[in-house]
Amino acid sequence: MALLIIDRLRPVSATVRAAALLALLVAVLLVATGGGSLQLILDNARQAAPLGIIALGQALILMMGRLDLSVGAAAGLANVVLASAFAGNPANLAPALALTLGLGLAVGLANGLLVVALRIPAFLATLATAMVIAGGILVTTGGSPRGSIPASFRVITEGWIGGVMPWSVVIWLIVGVALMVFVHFTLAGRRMLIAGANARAARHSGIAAGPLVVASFVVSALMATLGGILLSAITGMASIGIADSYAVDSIAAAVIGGAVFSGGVFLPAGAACGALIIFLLQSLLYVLSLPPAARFIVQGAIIVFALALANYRKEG
Amino acid sequence: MLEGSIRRNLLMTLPALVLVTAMAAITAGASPSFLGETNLANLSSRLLPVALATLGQAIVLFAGCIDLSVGSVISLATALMATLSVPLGWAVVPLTLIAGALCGAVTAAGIDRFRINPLVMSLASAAMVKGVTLLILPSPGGEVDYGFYALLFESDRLVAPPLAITLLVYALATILLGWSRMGRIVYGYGSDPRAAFARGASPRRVVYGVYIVSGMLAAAAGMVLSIRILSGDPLIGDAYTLDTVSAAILGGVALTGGRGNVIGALFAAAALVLINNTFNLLELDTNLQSIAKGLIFILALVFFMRGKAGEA
Repeated sequence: MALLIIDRLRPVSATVRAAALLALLVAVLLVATGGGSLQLILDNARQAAPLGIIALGQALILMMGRLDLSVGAAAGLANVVLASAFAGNPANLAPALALTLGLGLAVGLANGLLVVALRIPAFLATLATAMVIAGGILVTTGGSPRGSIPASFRVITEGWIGGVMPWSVVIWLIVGVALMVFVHFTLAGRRMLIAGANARAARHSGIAAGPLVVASFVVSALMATLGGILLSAITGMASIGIADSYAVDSIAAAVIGGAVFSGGVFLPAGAACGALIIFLLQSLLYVLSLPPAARFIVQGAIIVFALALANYRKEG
Repeated sequence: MLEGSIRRNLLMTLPALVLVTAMAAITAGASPSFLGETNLANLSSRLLPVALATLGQAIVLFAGCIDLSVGSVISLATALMATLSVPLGWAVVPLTLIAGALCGAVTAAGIDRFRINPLVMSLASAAMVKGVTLLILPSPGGEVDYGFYALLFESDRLVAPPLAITLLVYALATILLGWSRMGRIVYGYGSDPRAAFARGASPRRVVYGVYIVSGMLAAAAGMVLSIRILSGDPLIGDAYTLDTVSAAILGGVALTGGRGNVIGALFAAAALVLINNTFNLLELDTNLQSIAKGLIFILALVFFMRGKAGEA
């Protein structure tokens, strides 16, 4: 019984930890900018939304005890495809979105099948698909992608509801809540959680993990695509390699938010805090006029710190 | 019988050998300049950095770990060479090797001390090393002392120095890994850490050992790379991380540890270098390379991972 309670509390406390770190960072940032405003924080949240949504997908993959290193490439693919299919014309909305999401679906299916049907370790399979995607983008665009996102579509990241709440944050929230409801309150989601926590126990309980793993990679790739769509709305154009850093960033965000590599834990709120922390840290480094290179050092140090803390607690 | 012994693992090097021979034959048939002296010298100077970094990766894989920081360490080494080789002269060589060893030690410390998953720990140290590299050299440039180039690439010896170094290093690694107590401990730890521990192997020393060796070999690879291009590039190594894993697996090294040998990894590294060369000689779109490499990587994984559990 006591063990059960601790097991229930541990993930909760990880989210609280991430939230506390986030609050600390916000406070430091407000002091550093000399009072600042809530507007600044919300604007950071607006720009963090693509990473936040991608990190949700990564958190789901981590829940399955696996890694998806292709999310950066998938988001970049969405960016290039969306911009070229839109070609700046709002009338192309439906086909552009359908094409982008369709390709995202294909990437997720490819990842899932490589992992499940061909039994390739997930991080290697997704590294390989990332490579193929990056090559594919370069071959088809010749290194200089074209197209642009019409202003009417860019409202999804540039627009604020009543001047108070950015649309992109609302989208992020909806996706996060939907994923949480899916994992915790639907049969398929709970089966995923169990299969991630203990594959053998799941198999003995008659849960076929294979399709669930494929499904998790499809969800992750769709999240990456959605993140790429939001990113395109922010930049308004197609660029090569725009989302490359998101593969490691999304892992960092999920891990800061309490995700564990052994699987079985899904904390969307924690992942959201993690994504915000990564973005606010970048802002802070900028405010303190540190070189951009420092963000890599901080990012690496944070991953080590978060995991060292998690492992220390597990044993202690 | 130890699975790590070279005799047992010779069979696993066959696919890579077949691949590299076939590629060489096809390219030689399609393009007469392939066997020209300039192209062969070019090939051997391109092989050296890949071969060095792949060897480090293979050794880490033998111990059942993985090192995804190889690319960042390569970039760091090119940055150090580009900024320090002119003022410091030859002293830059030991300095760069020590820097590589330090990177490896940081990764090992995270794994050993904080029990962080090797894959993720090496990703984290890759990020940190990349940050340090960008602080040293924010954009491609700098200057590498020409003396290094003359020594490594312009000598008239019977065997070109890059090829000689590759063969020597691999011969040494084969002997040390196949016939020494140290090698047996690495393989033993990789195939069953608990059994190795019971027989007196120190997990800490194995983890630190393999990562420090991998860091130093990656630093050496970066040095060669920077000498070849006579400058540094803070992002040049990124593409090499996957190449080293890919080469090791293609060469029959098991991801699960304890299995494979470095000869296979050398053949596979040569195959990867040949891919670039083939694309250039046949005047194909160079961007197709990364697709081709990705597909070969997947094929190699399918071939070698068959029937094994696909976790992680």
